[in-house]
Amino acid sequence: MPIDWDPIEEGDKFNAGSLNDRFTAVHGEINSLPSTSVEAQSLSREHLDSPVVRYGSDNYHTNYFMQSGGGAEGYDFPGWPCDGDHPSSGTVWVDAGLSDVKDSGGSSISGTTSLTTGWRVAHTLDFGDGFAFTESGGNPSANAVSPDIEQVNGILVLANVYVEQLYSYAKGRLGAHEQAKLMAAIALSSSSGATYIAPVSIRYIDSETNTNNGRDVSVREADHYHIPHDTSSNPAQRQVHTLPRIHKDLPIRTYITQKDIVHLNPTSGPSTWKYVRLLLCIDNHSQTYREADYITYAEIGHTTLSVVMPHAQHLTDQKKYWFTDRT
Amino acid sequence: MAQIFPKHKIKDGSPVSKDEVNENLQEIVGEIQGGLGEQNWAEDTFTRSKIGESALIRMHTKKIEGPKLFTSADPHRYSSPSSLSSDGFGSETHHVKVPSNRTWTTLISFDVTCRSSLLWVIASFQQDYESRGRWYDFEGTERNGRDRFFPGVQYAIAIDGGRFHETVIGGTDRSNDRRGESYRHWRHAFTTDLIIPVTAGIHTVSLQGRMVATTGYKRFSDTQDFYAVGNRELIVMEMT
Repeated sequence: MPIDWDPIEEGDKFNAGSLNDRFTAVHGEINSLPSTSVEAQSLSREHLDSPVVRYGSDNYHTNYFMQSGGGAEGYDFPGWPCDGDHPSSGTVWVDAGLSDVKDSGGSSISGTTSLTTGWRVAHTLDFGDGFAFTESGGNPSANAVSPDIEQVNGILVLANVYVEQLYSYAKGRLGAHEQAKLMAAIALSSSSGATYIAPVSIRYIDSETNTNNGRDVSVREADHYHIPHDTSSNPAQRQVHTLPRIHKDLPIRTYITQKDIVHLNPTSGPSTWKYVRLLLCIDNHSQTYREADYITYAEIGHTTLSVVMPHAQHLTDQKKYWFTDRT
Repeated sequence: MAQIFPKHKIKDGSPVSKDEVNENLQEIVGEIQGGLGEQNWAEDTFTRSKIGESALIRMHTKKIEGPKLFTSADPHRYSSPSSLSSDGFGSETHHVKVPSNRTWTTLISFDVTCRSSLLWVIASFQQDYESRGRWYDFEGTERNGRDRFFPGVQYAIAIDGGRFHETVIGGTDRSNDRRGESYRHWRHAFTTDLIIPVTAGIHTVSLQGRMVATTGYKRFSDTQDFYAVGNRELIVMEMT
C-alpha cells in the first residue's frame, strides 16, 4: 500500500499538525510493512540465524565387541576373533559399563546381578553448557537457568547400530545356543555422569532373528548351521549348532522431549543435561537366567549417532516444561 | 532500498524551506515504497530469539511406549510381550498386536494440523513376537515354538488412510519367496520415512502393518503365534 502523503505546497501553512500528518503516514507504513515494501530476496541466510540450535554427530566403523557374563570359560567361540574369552589385539571394546544408569523412576539399575545391567556407551555427544528444563511460560528460576536462554522443545536423534553377531550359551554348554537380545537406547546424561534412558527409544534385535526354528533345542539343532568345534573334550560340544550371524541394522529415530524424561524427576534430578548418548546392552534369556550362568557375545559392526536440536515448536502436545538451550 | 541519508541538513537559526522538508520526506517515502532491501537490516538481525518458535520448522510427534521399562516394582527387567497379559495388547501403553488375518492394522496414529507444506514423516518402531503354540515339522513331529513357515510383517506410512508404496518395509512383490513379501525377522527394529507435500488442514498420519501370507496361505492363529509392535514413534516435521 503506497504511503498516503502530500508534499508541502507553496502557500501551505507549515505547522505541527501538517508535519505530524505527513510523518504519521510514514509511521503507519513502517509499522505494518506490506510485502510491496520489501524487495524480493532481501532476507537472505546472512540475516537469519541457523534453524538448528545444536548439532552433533559421531560414528564408528571399527568393529567392537561386548561380552556379558564372563570369567574364564575355556571354550573358543567358533569364528570369534578372540583368544578364549578375550578379544585379540586390534579389536576395540566399548568402554566400561556405566556406573550410574537410572531407570524411569530415578533408581539405579546398575550394580546388580540382573542381566539388564551392563549398559555400555557407544557414543557420547557433548552439548557444551548443556540444556535444561524450563517452563514454557518463561519461568526458568526453578532450575537456576538464565532467563535469556533460548527455548527448544526437543532433540531429534538418529542412530544406527549394525549388529554383526550375537551369540549366547550356558556356561559349560557351548553347543547349546540360547536366545539373547542386543538392546540399544538413547540416553541423556548430566555433567556428573548420571545417565537416564529415554524409555521409548529402546530397540533390540534377537539372536535368532534370522532363524526359522522355535525355542526347542532339538529344533534349533536341526535348523542351524553346524560349525565344527573340535577343541572340547566333551563330544557334545564338538559340534556347535549355531547361527550367530545377524548382519542387520538396528535403527533408532526419536524426538526426545521433556515428556520422555519427565519421569526422571527434574526437581531432584539433574537440572541440566550435557550429553546425548547411544547405549548398548546385552540382554539374554528374557531375564530368566542370571548373567553368572550364561555368556553372551555381541559383535557390532558400526554405529552412528546424530543429534539435531531444531528451532521448532511442539504444537500438538505442548507440555509445561521445555528443553532449553542454556547458552 | 538504499540506505537513507537526509538530503538537506536543517541548520539551527536558518529559515526552513518547504522544499528541503519535502525532499527529506521524499527520501524516506520513496525508498519504502520502492521496497526495503537487505541494506536496511544488519547482518544477523534475525537471530533465533527474534524468530517465532515454529517459524522455521514445526515439529509434531506421537510416541507410545510398548514395554514397561524398569518399573519400580521390578526395576531390572525389560518386559517383552510374553510377560504381558493379553489384555495389554492394543492399549496405549503396551504392545499392539499385528493380526494374522493379513489386514492392514493401524499401529500408531495422530492428527497433524498444518498449512500447505512439505511434511517429512519418520516412523521408528520395535517389532517383537510371541509364540505360544506347537507345530509339526516335515516329519510330523510336534515341536515347541514358532511355526517354521511363520511369515513376516509389512509396514507402511499412511496419510489420511492412504498407504505410500515407497514407505513399505519389505516389498510389494513376493516374487518366489514362499514366506511372503516382508522381512521375516523375529525381533527387530525398523524405520521408514517419507517427504510429501500436503494441503492445509488436518491430516491423519499413521503407521500401519500387516502380516503377509505364505504362498500356501496357511492359516495362523494369532492367539498362538503373532507379531507385536512395542515402542513406536511418529515424527512429523513441517518444513515449509
